[in-house]
Amino acid sequence: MEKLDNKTGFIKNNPLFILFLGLTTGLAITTNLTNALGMSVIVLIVSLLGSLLVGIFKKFVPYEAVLIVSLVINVVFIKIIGLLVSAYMPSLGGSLGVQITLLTVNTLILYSVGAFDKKENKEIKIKGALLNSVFYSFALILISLVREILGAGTLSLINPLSGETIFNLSIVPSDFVLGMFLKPEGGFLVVGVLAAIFAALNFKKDVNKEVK
Amino acid sequence: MKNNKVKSIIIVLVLVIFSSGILIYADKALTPIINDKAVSEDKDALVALFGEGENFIPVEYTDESGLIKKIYEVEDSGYAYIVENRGYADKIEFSLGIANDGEIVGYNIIHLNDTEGFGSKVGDDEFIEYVEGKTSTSVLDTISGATVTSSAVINGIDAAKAHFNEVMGIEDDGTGNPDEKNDEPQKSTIDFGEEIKLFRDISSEAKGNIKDQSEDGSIIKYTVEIPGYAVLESDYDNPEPNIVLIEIDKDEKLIKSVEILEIKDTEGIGTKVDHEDFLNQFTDLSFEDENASVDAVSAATSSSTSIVNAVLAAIEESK
Repeated sequence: MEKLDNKTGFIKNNPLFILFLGLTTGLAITTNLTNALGMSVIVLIVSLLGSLLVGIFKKFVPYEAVLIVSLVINVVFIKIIGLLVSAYMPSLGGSLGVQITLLTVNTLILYSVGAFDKKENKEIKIKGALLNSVFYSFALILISLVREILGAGTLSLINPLSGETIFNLSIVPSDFVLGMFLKPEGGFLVVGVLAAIFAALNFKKDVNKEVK
Repeated sequence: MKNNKVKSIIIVLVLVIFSSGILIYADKALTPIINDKAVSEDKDALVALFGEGENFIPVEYTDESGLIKKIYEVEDSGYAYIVENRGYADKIEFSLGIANDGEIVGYNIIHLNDTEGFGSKVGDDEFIEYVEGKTSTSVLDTISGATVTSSAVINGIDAAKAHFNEVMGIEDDGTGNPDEKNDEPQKSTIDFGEEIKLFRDISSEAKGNIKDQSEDGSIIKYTVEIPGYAVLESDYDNPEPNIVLIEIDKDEKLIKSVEILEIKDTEGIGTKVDHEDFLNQFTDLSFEDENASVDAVSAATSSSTSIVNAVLAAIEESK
């Protein structure tokens, strides 16, 4: 838990790969780039709005109730955003499906809005929410790049509002594509390997620090 | 501390009530837009099935399977169905059009999120061509390697077919052959083959086992388990014996009746022995006569023999 107090970064203490926050979403929707980007935006918006509101509430809510309050605020924002996505971006809503609703218990969002902070910590964490969401998005995009290229051979981005394809690159010929990467097994594999790489990079940084 | 607890509860309650209010409002405001999007999506699917200029009338229905989302009657042309089922990883939604003559004129995927190369095959041209052209009484096979997904689609198609057949008054006997009427295949005649004598030596493995018997005066009913073709000659997995109910008049030395309770031999061949023409041969057959015999069902000699062996076991038991 000590790591949660340290600063997070793109590589150092990456929220998904080192702190393992928001892992469910990271495994479930990273089958293609469009999904990952869409989810990143949703997480960002929810974290920002949530951190604002939770920060305000934390000032007068007793410490025991902070988590419950954060969850309720989370639910409200996620439900509204879910409805908006279904109404105006139905294709994205369709492929993300139930994962949007599952964001209510996404540990990254709860962490960003300050549900897990210590008792004394009563500041409004907007900057923290922003940064954490960005680092998380970096991780989501990274996983989805690997999974989509290896699992489907193409890299494509579809505009969720209009449905048109922004770009569609064919990278790996379809004969060499490994469908496994689009399935849950592939997700676990990719996240595990990337987490190991990130752990190694972090370890090097820690070692360097100690030597200094 | 108690003060804090009360404060917490009140704050949470107020927050929840307030949030519910916001959410109900948001839901009310946005659901119509979501529905409109869905209806216009439907419109595209319907037009894709039956073409422009058709009149699509929504239909009230009762659907036991729960898979049919919407039914539209296409005036003078047929019926269009929006079907949704749970696939392997995600829901599957497709539209199905059945013309008035029973032919499936259209099958289009609306939503499919299953595994690429496996479940995704239900959206491939090959499967689409397989489905289109089938009728409302055809039987559809699943795709090997994509069982979960294709079963979900086929169950959905079956639900649509069931509604269509009910509305049109078509009988579907599940054999996939729309010409066959599903009444009493027993009425068909059977051919007889060789003669089987009642009293002869049979190997111990072919002998019948008396499972149950009940006596009523001189009438004894035997339930006999008899190894048939499946057990003795075939290489079926887990072959089972046939079960026969034989009624004997002990005093008169007559076989009163033979009824087949379970026939486990080859469907369409050995099962032919379950026919009144064959079984009636046993009625009032006297087993005092050592040369008593019946004729086997042609091409079902082993199964016929097993029935005779069962009768023999009953006769032996009654002595």
